[in-house]
Amino acid sequence: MGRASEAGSRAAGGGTGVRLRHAVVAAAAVLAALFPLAVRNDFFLNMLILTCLLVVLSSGWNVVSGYAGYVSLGHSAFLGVGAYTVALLALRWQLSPFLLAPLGALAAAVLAAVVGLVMMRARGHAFVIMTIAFLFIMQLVTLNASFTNGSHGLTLPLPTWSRQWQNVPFYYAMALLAALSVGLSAWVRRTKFGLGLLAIREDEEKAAAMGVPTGIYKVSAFAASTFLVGAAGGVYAYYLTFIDPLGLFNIIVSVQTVLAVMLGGRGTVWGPVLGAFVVEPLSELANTYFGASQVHLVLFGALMMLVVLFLPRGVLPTLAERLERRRRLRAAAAEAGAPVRLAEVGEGGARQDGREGAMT
Amino acid sequence: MAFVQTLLLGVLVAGVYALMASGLTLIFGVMNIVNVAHGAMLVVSAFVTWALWRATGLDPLLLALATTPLMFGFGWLVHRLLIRRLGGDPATMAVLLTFALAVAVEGLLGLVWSGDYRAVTPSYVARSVRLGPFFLPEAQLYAGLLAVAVLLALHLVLARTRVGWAIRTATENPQLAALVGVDPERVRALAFAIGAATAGAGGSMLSVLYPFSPASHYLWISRLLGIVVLGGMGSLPGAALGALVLGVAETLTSTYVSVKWATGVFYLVIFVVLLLRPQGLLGLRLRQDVPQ
Repeated sequence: MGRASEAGSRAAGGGTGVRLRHAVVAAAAVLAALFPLAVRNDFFLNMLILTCLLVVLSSGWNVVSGYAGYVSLGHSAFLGVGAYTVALLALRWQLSPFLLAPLGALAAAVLAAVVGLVMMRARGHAFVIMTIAFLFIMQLVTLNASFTNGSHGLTLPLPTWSRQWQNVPFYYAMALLAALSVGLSAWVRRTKFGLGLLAIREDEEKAAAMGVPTGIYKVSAFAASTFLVGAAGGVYAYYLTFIDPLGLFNIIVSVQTVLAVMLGGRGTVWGPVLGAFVVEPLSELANTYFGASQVHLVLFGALMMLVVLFLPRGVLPTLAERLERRRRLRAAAAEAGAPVRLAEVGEGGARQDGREGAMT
Repeated sequence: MAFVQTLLLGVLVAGVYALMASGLTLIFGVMNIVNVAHGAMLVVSAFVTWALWRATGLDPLLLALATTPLMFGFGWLVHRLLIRRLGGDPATMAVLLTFALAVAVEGLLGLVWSGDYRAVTPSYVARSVRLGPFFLPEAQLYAGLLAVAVLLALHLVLARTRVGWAIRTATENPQLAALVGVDPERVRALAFAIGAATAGAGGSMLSVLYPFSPASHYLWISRLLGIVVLGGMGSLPGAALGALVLGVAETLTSTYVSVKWATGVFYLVIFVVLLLRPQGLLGLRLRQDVPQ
C-alpha cells in the first residue's frame, strides 16, 4: 500500500520539482542556522531543540519501522542508552558530553544490533510487544543498578561556554544531528539496502526468495535507526543536566515518535520531519496552556488513535496520492475530451504505480 | 515452612492473575488482537471501585457486580467505535491503537482523580486467617476465591451456552463458524466485551490487593502479557497455568531475591518465551516466523 504512493511522490517531484525541493531544503538550512542569532527567545529555542530531537527520533524510527515495517514502541530506550553512556563517561573522564556523543551513538547501535539479532526473528505484534518489554527491562535495570545511581539519577557537568550563548550550542548540536538523521534516512531510501528494506516490509518471504539478505538487512536497519538517536541522547542529557531512568526510558517519548511518523507519513523521507514539527510544538503548547502532563497523555493518545484509524498512511503520502490522482484525471480528461469516471482512473493508476515501484 | 508460606501466597495471587489474563487471551483467540489497553481497563475498574466504595461504603469485592457490566459496556463501545474500524495490517495497528487508548485513558483518569496512588481498604484488609502454621491474608483469600468463581462462570458460559459455542467455534475454526451462520462481527464484539468485563471484575479485586495509580496500567499489562505469552495466547487453561507459574515466580523473586526485581520476571518471560517457544505452553503461535 505504501509502494504506490512513494512512486507517486517521486513521479510528481521529477525535473523542476527536484530543483525546487533542493532550493527549499537549502533555504530551510540557512534559516535554521541563522535563527538563534536573529531571534533571542528561550521559549522558541527550547521548542526547536526538542523538535530537532524528535526529528532524530522519528527519522531513525522511520528506517526500521517505516521502511522495513518492524514497528517498535521501545525506541526511546536507545535515547536513554545514549544519554546514560555519555553521562557516565563524561563524569568519569571529565570530558565534554559533546565530544562523547559519538560513543553514545555507538553504544545505542551496538545494543540495537545485539537485541535486533534476537528480537527480529519475531514480527508483527510479537515484535511490538517485545520492544515494549525491552524498554521496560532497560528502565528497570537503570533503576535498580548501582552504577547508574538508580532513581536518584545523574547530574552532568554544567556547560563551560560563556553564559551569553546560553542554549545556542545545544541548538546547533541537535540541529546538526537532525540534519544528519534526515540525510541518513534519504540516503538509505536511495540505496539497494533501502529497497531491500521496502521489499521486506511488503513481503519478507518473497524478499528472501529474491536474494535479499533479510537477516543482515533488518539488523543493520535497527542499528542505523538507533545510531543517531544514541548521539542525540548524549546531547539531550547535557541539555537537561540531570537525567533519571523514568525520564529517559520513557514510553511517552516512543509514543510521540510513532505519532510524528504516522502523522507525517510512514516510509517517506520528509513525513517524519513534518510530523515532528507538528507534534513537538503541540506538546509545548499543551504544556504552556494546560501544564498538567495528564492533558498531554489524553492529547497524544487521542491523536494517535485518530491517525491509526483515519490517516494510517500519514499526511504526505495521502496528499501525494490525491495530487497524483487529480493530475491523471485531468490528463485523461484532456486526452479523451470527455469526463472520465474517477474509479477507472484510480484503479489504472494504482496498477501502473505498482509496476513503477517494483522496477526502481 | 517459610517456603511453603510463600508458595501459598503465590497461588492465591495466581487466581486473580488468571482472571485478569483470561480476558486478554479470549480477545486474542477470537480476534487475533493483542489488547494492550487491558491493563488500563483494569485500572479504570479499580478507580470506579474506589470511587463507589468511598461513596457508598459497600464491600469492594461485591462492587465487582457493578464494575463487570460497566466494563462490558465499555468494551462493547471500544470495539464498536475503534477496533471495528481498523484497516490495513490489523494485528500491528491494533497494538498501536489499543496502546494509544491506554495512554488516553491514563490521562483521563489522572484528570478526574489525579495521578496519586489510591488503595481500597475494607476492614478485613489487614486481617488474616490462620491455617495450621500458615496464614492467609483475608483480602487475598476472598479475592482469590471470587476470581476462581468468576473464571468457572466464564468457563460455563463458554462451554454451555450458545454464545459460548459461537465464540469457541470462531476461535477454533473461523471458516466453519461462518459456514454455520455465526455472525463474525457479533462474535468479535461479544468476545471483546466479555474480555473487558473480566477486566471489570479483576479491577475490583486489584483495588483491594494493590495500591494503584493511573500509570499502573503499564505494570499490569506487562504482568498479563507475561502470563498469556507463557501460557499460550488464546488458551484459557494456558492463562491459568501461566498465572500459576508467574504468580509463584513473582512471589518467590520478591521474597528471595528482591522486591525491586519482581516485575523483571514478567518482562524476561515475554522476551524468552516469544523467542524460544512462541506458542507458549498451551496456546496458539503469537510469533509469525521469519524465513531464515
